[in-house]
Amino acid sequence: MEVDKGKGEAEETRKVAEADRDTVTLKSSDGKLFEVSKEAAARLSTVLAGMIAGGSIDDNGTDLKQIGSEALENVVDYCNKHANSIPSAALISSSISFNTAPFKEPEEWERKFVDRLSHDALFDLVEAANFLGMERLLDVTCHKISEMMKGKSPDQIREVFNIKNDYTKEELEEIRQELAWAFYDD
Amino acid sequence: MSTTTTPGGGCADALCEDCLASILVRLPSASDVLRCRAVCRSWRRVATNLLFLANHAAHRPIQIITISDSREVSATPLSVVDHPRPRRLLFHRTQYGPSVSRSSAVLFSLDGLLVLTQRPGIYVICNPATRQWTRLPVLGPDETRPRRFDAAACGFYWHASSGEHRLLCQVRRNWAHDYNILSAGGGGARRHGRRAPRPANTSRTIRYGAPVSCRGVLHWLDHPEAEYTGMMLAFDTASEAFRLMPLPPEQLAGNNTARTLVELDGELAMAVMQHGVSSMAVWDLRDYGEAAEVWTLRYRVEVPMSSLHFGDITDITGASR
Repeated sequence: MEVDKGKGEAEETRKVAEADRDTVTLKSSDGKLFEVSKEAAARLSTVLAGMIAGGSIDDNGTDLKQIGSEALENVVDYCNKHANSIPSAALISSSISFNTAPFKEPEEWERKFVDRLSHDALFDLVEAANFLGMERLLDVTCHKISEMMKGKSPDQIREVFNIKNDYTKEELEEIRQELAWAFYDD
Repeated sequence: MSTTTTPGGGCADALCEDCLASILVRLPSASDVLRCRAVCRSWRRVATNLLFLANHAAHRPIQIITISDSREVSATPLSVVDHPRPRRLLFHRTQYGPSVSRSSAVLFSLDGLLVLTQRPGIYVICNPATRQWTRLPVLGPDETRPRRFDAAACGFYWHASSGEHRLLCQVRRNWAHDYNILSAGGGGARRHGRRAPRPANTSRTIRYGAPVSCRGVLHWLDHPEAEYTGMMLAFDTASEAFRLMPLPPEQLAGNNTARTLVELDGELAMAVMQHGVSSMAVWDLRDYGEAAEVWTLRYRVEVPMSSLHFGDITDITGASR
């Protein structure tokens, strides 16, 4: 989504119907504006739904100081794609299983959506989804990251996600012994 | 631009703990979660949190826990589709387990934890996902006069203010009956202020039915005081106080009534089925905890004969003679 186009659309909509707009304008921490369908925003984000219902949406761009433009662009992109997608049969009918409350599997387009993101972009999107109360987007992004961790050793996880090991050698040995079996099976 | 830009892989250090928990809770196996504890301190904090573990357990497929002759404890996921790894060995007694044997019974399950017992007074808490065990303080006979001893586990609950899982037990030492609260978190065994009732017949073992949890209160229909009070027993898991509560005013014709306590839409309800009558009544408790706590008849349902208890059939034929 291009910012200029988004801005243009925002001005256009303001002219046409000042009071009854069907989109909302969101402003990233670095001041960029994004346009998103009001319906999709309210349906996918509990925080935005609350702001829309409470009238705290700013027509000149609602400030989302915690979210950078790259992450916000992905959020808006996700909302638009979600609005256009037809939910698959899997989402409509619950599958027969004894699972108590399994997490929903991502749709094919959602997989593709997160697959093209860099690790940084993915982490930022998790934070944004968490901040905006977007449960489904949180599902999709967290699912992707957890898949990258599956079956990896602590060393490999640290390497992939660039995490500093803040344990002492002795502590690590202690943890290793405590969890001995977790390092060789499953 | 992105707030965190690091050369190479992304930097997960910048994630808040809520977000990290959202990711880790989706890891499919418990050993993945355990390995994550070894990554760094903040990951360990998230992956050892009790609520996190309970949440992780709640999203896993339901498993059957089996204890075999060779004293192996294993878990088999319940599923209609073929599972690639059908049985997973949890532990072998000689390697990891404390007092678990073939005779061990699973008493309670809560938040992904199991309470097992081998004999009265000896209880262990097991987390089958992480294969960790905690031995609860042992309840034993009076050392000076070790004559009669019996113990019964009444209920297992989460004590929110201390952040502990606790086991409520009734203990009999000679002629004294007490309630004891056992906690895994160093609290030891603590005697409860309320005197526990003696079973009507002193030679009988102490019996408690499975409690029904509703609004943070455990409720027992079947308890030692039921016989002479005609009331149900309730235990508030926050204040740890007992109280006796009235039963619905359904005509109770002695043994001819089958009553079941249930939680219905978050409210406490009781289903009553009378022998020889093919209808079932569901009562629920209005204004729970208020002064004007009343049982209200919610439904009366016609029940097909086939769904009646097997044992009832003889009673019905007997009554018709």
